[in-house]
Amino acid sequence: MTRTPFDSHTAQEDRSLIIQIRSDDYAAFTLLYNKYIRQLTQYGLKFIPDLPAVEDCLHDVFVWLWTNRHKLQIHSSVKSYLFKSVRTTILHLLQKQQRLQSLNADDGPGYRFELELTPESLVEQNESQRQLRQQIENVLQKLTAKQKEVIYLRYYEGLNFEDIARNMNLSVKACYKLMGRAIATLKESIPGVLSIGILLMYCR
Amino acid sequence: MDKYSTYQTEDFLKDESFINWVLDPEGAGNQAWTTWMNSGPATKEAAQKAIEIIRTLDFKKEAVAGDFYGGLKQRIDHTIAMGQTVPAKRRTIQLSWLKAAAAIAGLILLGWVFFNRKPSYTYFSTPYAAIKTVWLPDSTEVVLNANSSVRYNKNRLNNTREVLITGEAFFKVRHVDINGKAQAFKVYAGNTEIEVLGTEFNVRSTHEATAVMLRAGKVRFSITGSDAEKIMQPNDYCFYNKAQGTISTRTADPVMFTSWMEHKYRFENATIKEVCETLKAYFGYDFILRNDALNTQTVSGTLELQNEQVMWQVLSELFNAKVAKQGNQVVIQ
Repeated sequence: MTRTPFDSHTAQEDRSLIIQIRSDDYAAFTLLYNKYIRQLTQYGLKFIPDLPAVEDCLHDVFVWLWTNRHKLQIHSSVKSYLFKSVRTTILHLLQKQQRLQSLNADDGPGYRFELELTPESLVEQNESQRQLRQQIENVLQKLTAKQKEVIYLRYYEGLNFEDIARNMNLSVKACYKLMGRAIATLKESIPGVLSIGILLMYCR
Repeated sequence: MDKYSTYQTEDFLKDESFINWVLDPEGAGNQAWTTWMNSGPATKEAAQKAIEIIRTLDFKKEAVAGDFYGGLKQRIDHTIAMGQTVPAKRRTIQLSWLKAAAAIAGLILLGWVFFNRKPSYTYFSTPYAAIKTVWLPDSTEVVLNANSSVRYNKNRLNNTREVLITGEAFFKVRHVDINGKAQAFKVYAGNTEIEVLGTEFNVRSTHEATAVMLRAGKVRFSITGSDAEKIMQPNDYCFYNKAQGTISTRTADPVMFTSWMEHKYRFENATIKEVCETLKAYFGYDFILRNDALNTQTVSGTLELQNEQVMWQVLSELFNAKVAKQGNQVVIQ
């Protein structure tokens, strides 16, 4: 897998970086930037496929972080905090550009979150994996932006549901529900996939 | 882990500890799942399916040019450096008593004077594995090696030319005369100071040491708060070690110390440890030497830095050892 796992060691390391940044350590700020800028850029591009616009938002996020370092209050993981900052800044920009109708429409289009699987040419797989991949791709197209975003943050970036809910201004319960609905779509669209385990058990 | 014996694939897909384990099987606290899977649970097939689904959820990365991140960082550095001249806080004061008002006015005035005396710095930096050329307002050229920075006070640069560096940098200082008198240019690196009058030299500064290689002209290399100083001539190489507190000088070929500007490192009878330290400063990787004999072995050769894959191969031939890179670690044995 090409994704970078997010574990407790990384979280600890990030917290100490923030403590250094609070005490005016610019090198620590640079380290934090180098650590997350690639992931944050990819995340931003899911909202707007426009690199210069994403660049402007990332610029604002990091300048804000440094300028306000003395009064930073981070209640989630640092990684999650950065993701939230990028999200807020980008949605704000979209709102300003009036590309956005309403953020509050429960499951309405609101914003876009374009999600595609890694191109097939880049992954080695057998026939059944290829089939599963195709099915998941079809399901992704049916999901709402919010559902796709939850999937991206949970399964790809490894943020926990609590942090995702906080970032997306949802209750943890609503976040689970979104996830549940996405999985239900998966279950409907992939005949047999989810009962295959039970089937195999009886065949033995 | 009893409840998992009734789990279906969708339950696994919603289970946080399960997801964490699939994303990072080696992670702290995740091994319990490996044990569980190996114990042959009744719901193993369902779990297997969930693993496959999560593994398939690997998303496409949009193409972003390699210099995008460095360029953006420079823009951020620049904004932050400029921003220091903007008042950080706006004070609103409600005045009820004249006396209090006068006192506060006095305080504000003091604060204002203090604030305006605060230097405003301009800051350039490079991330790991990148080299950049910047020009100071006086047209002095500075080439920054990876993970290095140069900072100067832009209000004062006109009368005193002073810059602070971290990491490694090459300077081509422009000779400036004011009323027939040559203007000094000072570089501060750690607790050392290099004073120059229009010249070309390389500085490399780490926590423990500062090294200066002079290519042309003349510089004075001195240590803050100490008598140690050395007037350097072209081809002089000065090395200052903080722990020893002394400057040692020898003659060397400047090419050996400035090849990094062409994205190369040249080594002549360097110990493997020195080579690793140089590469660590450039790439930010940790090097682990698994074989004690390697510590004292010396090597000579040139390393091209731009193609990392090729570089590791050359390194392995140079060291006559196995070089394996995993994440941020390079193991040599």
